[in-house]
Amino acid sequence: MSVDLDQTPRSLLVCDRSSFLNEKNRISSQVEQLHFNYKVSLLLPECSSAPSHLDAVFNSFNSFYLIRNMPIYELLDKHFLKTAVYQGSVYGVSYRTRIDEDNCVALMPNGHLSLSLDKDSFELLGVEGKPSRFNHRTTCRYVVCVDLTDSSMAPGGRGYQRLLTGLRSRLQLKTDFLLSHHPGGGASLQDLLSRYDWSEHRPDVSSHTLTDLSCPALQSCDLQSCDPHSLLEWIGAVDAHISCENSSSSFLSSLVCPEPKTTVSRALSVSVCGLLLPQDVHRLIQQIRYYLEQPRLESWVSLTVHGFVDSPVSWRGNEHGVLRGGENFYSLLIFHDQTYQLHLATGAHDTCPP
Amino acid sequence: MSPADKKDKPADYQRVVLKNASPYHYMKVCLVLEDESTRLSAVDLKQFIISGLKSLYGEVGAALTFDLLKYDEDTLTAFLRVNSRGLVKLWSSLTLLGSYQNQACAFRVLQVSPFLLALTGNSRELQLD
Amino acid sequence: MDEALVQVAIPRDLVDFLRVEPQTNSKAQAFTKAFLRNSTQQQSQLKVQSMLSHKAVILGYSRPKKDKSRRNSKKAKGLNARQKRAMKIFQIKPEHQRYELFLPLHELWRQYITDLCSGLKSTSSPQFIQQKLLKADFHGAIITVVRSKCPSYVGITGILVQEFKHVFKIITKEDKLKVIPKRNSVFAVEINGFVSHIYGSKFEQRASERSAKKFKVRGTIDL
Repeated sequence: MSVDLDQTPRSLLVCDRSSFLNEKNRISSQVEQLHFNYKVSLLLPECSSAPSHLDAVFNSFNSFYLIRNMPIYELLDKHFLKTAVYQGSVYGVSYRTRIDEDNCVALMPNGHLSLSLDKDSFELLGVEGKPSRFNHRTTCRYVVCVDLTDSSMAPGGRGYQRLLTGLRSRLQLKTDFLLSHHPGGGASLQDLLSRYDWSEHRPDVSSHTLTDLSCPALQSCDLQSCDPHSLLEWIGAVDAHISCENSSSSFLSSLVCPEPKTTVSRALSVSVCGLLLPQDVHRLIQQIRYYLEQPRLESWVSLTVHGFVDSPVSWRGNEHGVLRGGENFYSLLIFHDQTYQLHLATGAHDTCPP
Repeated sequence: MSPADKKDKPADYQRVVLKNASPYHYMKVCLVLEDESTRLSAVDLKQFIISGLKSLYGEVGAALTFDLLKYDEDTLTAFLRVNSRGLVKLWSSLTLLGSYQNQACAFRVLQVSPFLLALTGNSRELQLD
Repeated sequence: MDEALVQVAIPRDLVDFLRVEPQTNSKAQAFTKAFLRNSTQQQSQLKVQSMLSHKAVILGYSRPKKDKSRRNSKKAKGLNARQKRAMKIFQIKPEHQRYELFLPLHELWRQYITDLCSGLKSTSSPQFIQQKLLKADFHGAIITVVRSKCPSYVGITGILVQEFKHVFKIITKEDKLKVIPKRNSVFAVEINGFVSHIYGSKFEQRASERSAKKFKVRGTIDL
């Protein structure tokens, strides 16, 4: 068989190990830079119900808004810019659009509007853009990125007018759009929402208890204690409710928990889905640190945050694409002594995470 | 396969970048059958996939090991784990599997990732309304 | 030379000046005849002799170059490209680059298209109109760039004032003369509610040459 059959597209895994007490740790910026979070899942070993302060964080995640069939030029509305974009940060991403086949839009908290367009739409729009980094041989996707806070994009300016007429009369781009605002919440978006069919959504919290879970013996001290891939595999298996109790001779599956392993009598797995803000994730991390300060049987907590697969950007506003999975997620393992292990993973159509 | 170490302070901050180092790939596939009432057990499904591998790659192909991690009999959706080197072989044989017990069928590959975690957090599954 | 002038007697004052004896008329005549016979006959005989004996004579004839002379005469009528460029005869003077100056041209063009498409009613089939438009002249049409590989051309609209092989020159409402390459752009032309799209890449001919060109039908066209 030829060599090509053995090759798989590129994937990247960045493993960071540090402590919250180390002033060089970049955990807050790493959390901050992944703007569009889809799912947060938490694994608490030796815990049957979440303590009240963690529960409070889960239930206080910002709600987000779904606008159906919104024309994208509404994001350039003068009033919207004034009340939402210039004040605080707007998180907006197109919904039910697939980045490998449709046009996708994202409005980032720093006021950058990123449009990932196919070739025909780009030629219709008439606004400067760059060919996508992930084009193969022929250019079939372009990325247009504009800074709405820039002086040239101020309402009435030339760049603003060009983009507005482009989106209004030439490329009439309409998508379902997910929006969230920090810190204003729905009040800052009300004006835009009222003009279209919209609905408010609370992040969906679900939790379930696992009993007699075999888990790897995790120590904070060294990264090499467990291979990052098998650790992530195990966390994934727990998250997907896949049993690790297999023998190596089993016909169906030979997935086993990485060695050395122990067994925890019960564990709680909580997951939150929706358009989640990095600020909320950050708040959750602070609460987990507080939770770990109390003495416990197992002294670690694992937190996984998934980004949106079809967002045109991943970390730092870098271009993102879907080749097969479109994964952009990070998994944070926090220990009671304030050390942590952070695994940031991206797929083939992504740049290296920060 | 080149881990690049960037060590600022060995004791305090360590960053390792692993490229293409994942030993396994994970697939989320869904079997679509002509007759929707047909039921398959997990063992049936695995046997069926092995027969596909065998017909495309012969005995050597059938020796490719893969794991059926999870299977939902109602939706015929399965999580597969395969050695990264065998991904293309498994995928191609799934693509070319066209009939199950004399009825037309097709495998829909929903997601492929080098990380099992990615399969649990696919934002394309987000259902609002 | 006049024979009379040869045999004229030398005037008296010249006789004194040159100190020559004028000879009598008959004597002079005889001398001239002898001199001429000597010089001409001998030379021509010699030449023919040497040509026949030493040189190869090509008996074939060279084709008369008729077309060359004709072209020359044609060229002389007009100017060549360099002269045209130097005289700027195809450039519109800045003071004439005004949109309203070209509105009559646009009206004229509308009439022309309406006549060409025999009335241009809303019932006429788009295929028929497109067949006619393909061979029509577009000077005076209001065209809009609807798609382009270069984003800054998109959205420009104006009256087509000049068409060249590779570019359109149009004048916009802001009285700006814009030169737009045909390649990699799609133009829209609107007449009485019919909007036709022109794929510039397939339209790269001079207006005069286009009328004779046969366009191929293709399924899909990319820029």
